[in-house]
Amino acid sequence: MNLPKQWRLKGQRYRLEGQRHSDGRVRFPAQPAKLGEASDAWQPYQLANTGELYSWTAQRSNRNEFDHEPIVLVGMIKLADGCMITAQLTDCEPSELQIGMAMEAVTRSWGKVGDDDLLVYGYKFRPKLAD
Amino acid sequence: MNQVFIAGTACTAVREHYDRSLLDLALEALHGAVGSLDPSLIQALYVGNALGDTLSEQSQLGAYIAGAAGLNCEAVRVEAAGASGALALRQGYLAIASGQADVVVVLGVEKATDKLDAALQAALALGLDGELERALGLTLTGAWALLMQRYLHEYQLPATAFAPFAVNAHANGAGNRHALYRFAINAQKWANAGQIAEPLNMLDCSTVADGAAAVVLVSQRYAREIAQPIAIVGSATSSTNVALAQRPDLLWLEAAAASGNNALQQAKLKRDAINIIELSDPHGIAAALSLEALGYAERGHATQLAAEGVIAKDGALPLATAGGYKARGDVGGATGVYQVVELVAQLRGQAGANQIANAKTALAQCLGGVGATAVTHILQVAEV
Repeated sequence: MNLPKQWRLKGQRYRLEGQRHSDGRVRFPAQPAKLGEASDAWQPYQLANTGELYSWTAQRSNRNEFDHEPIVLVGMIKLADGCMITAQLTDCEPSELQIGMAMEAVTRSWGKVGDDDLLVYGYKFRPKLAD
Repeated sequence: MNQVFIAGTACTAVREHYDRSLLDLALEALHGAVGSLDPSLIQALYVGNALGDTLSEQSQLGAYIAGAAGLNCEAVRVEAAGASGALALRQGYLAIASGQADVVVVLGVEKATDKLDAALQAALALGLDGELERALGLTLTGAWALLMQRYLHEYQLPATAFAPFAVNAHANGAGNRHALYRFAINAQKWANAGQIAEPLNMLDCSTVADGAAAVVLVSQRYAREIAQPIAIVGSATSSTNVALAQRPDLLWLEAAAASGNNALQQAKLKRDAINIIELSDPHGIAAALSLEALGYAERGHATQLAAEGVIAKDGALPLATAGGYKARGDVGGATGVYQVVELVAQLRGQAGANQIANAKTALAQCLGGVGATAVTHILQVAEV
């Protein structure tokens, strides 16, 4: 059980909280300043929740927490603000996926943690629904 | 910097050694490498291991193995996922080069089969970013698949372009008695294999198995006593972001390029001086991106080296001559030491059916995770 960790990560997982630099660069997740950076160079920023599929895979051999799922879809999404993010893909089949297709973020269950089956939620991406 | 030489080497067969422990495998390799050398001369033991605390539930492997071997010396476990063994070799190299020691032993050991596959996948995924990749279910194989999918898209290639890497590895594994898979495959069999993590299929994925390999490193003081000394003329490591999404260029293995260039520069060699090469090649995409990072192919063109036979035993740059990850078997954190044991056999003319004629200079590069850590060593036949 790692309750404190799940609590600590709620900003990035529920709200896609990252950071934006004064020069316009965006990064995810929020993190301490790198060596040589001013401590206030990066400010809190909520990432764009849409983007394009940059790459993807359909995993058929999975680790124990995900072994009950026959296929785990994972993708990399280049968001509208330029930030890259890796996420599980949902609401789609592998045959539907095309690099470059429009994607949007949703909040979904990531699974259960620990002996008490704590439900952990976070971001996933799906093919963008028509406006 | 003092010169560093490789004396004894040994490795166990790579197998699913259900009847043997991590310690059994480690001791077999140590006995083989140390041979008749007086153990009291050994000043340090560097153990490369990635998964011991997770899969064998044993930490402090330096002291654990040193104690079992009867060594009371500096004993350190080095961890950098799949690059653990290569990084342990670098620590041993630095100990001799700096003058701190005259004789050290480097051991790579991995015991993967004490737990079932799903637990192994979980352990291997520890080499990814825990919060940004592993937590959402990405596996190490899946991470390489993300790179391959993008590569196929960018360079408009079919997945079958990667088949020659596995075909080459299996052809060579057939001649290595230590290899896990000692049979050849062909491109048709590769194309018919089932998917593991699309677009990576079963015959484009290595099998993680058990094994241990060891080398004894000595200074010039002892090199004259070695029958066929091999010098380490280049040693360099570098790192980059673990999380794929935080890399500026998904298809460029920055650490591999930096460590390769630095090792060649140290050795004062051009890349075409290398006669034989070992890379981290659990999948064709890994071999291809490493070849590009090292400058042997333009970006997007590495599969041509495989298709044209450049990496074959009779090619200009033989790769994976003992079977590589795919056929010798993927020994996790022990791999970097296996690579060097295999290359030393080549440089000493002891590689049997897989011997490359007139091999004098060899390069081994080993990656941790998806190339977040890269370690490169260059070996050369020495005259002392």
